[in-house]
Amino acid sequence: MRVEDVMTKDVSFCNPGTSDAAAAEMMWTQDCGVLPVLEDSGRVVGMVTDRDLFIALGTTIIRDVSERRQIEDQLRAVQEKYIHELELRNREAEHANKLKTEFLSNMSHELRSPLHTVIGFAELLAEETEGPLSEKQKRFLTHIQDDPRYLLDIINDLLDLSKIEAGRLELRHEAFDIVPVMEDALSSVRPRATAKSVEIRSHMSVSVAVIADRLRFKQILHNLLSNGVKFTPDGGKVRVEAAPRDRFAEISVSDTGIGIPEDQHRAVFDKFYQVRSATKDGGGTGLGLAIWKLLHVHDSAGAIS
Amino acid sequence: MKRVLVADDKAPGRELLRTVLEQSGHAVYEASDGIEALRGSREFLPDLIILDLHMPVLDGFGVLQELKRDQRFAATPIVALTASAMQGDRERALTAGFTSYIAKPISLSALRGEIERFLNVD
Repeated sequence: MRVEDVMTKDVSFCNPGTSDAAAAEMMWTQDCGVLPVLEDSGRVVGMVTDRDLFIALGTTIIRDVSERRQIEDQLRAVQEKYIHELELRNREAEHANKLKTEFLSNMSHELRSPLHTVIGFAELLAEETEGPLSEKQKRFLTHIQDDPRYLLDIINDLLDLSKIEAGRLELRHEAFDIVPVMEDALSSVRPRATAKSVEIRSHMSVSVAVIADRLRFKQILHNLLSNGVKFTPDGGKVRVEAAPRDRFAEISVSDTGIGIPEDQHRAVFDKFYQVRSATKDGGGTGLGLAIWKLLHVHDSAGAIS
Repeated sequence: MKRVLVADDKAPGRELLRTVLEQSGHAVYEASDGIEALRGSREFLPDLIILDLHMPVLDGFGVLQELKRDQRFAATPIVALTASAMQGDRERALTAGFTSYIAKPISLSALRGEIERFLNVD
């Protein structure tokens, strides 16, 4: 395009626009190497060649690239700082968790040692090999023997809970018949039930086979049964049933105790949670069902309600 | 009558074991730390060694390691006794070479059963 051609064209047609890219685009579509630069009035104030544009565009691209590189560098620095911080936090959390485990291990050890001697010597006295005891002394001794066992249960519960939370509890699945395991769990709560004249009735199918962790199964059942006995008033009943249902075994424990208000059905599975009236009646730590819930999270083969 | 070495840094723990063992007619040698347990084992040459794992100076694992170097104890049952109950403790003790692992607290009948298991085999 020559200067004469420019002068005869419409203003809007020839203006290269305000950006390098727009001017280049116009040259490309019009297939010419030069464009006039016009004032608002339409007066030509100069010419732009494709060479000028090439240099301008090149500079822009170089500027853009270096800007982008700068932004990327900044981003990377932020990212690295973030990752570093995250690693630091992780390490701190791991350290804290390790300390917690060590503390629990030490505490459990420190509590078990004296319990061992209390339980042992009480048992020695009860055997009366060191001399006969009066009825009253025997009764006192029974009290001395009961509480350490209860303490031991609490320590074991706390230890289990922390093991599960730390993901250190391994479940060992095996196929077994639940009936003998249930008999076992029943016999462990019977003394307490008898002492309160709480009747335990069990209805079990001849044999119900499951695949589960036998020890934890028994622990859950024991917790449910001892809760049943604990919160059932003297002379009440606890009923336990087991039967195969679909591909599962359904086990239910019910009692004639105070029951759990409907609005607290979820909360009873939180650790340390106890239904308000239970705290003063039955004692306990409120850990039994929480252990169940955590076990359930780790092994989704069961359900409890 | 068999000879049993009992190592525990706590006196009541030692007396409990001594009482149970003497009731069954066994002779008891007491040690209150790992070094005493080693010295006692070498002098007394017991038929059964019961070691608490947590002891000052030298712990149960340390005593076991020393005893394992001594041919005279090659056939002596060495039982770990501990109040620690973390998962993996039992495995660690058995892997280290203890013949058996007793977790405190333990009922007397279970304790007697465990002791006789090692003393009756001749």
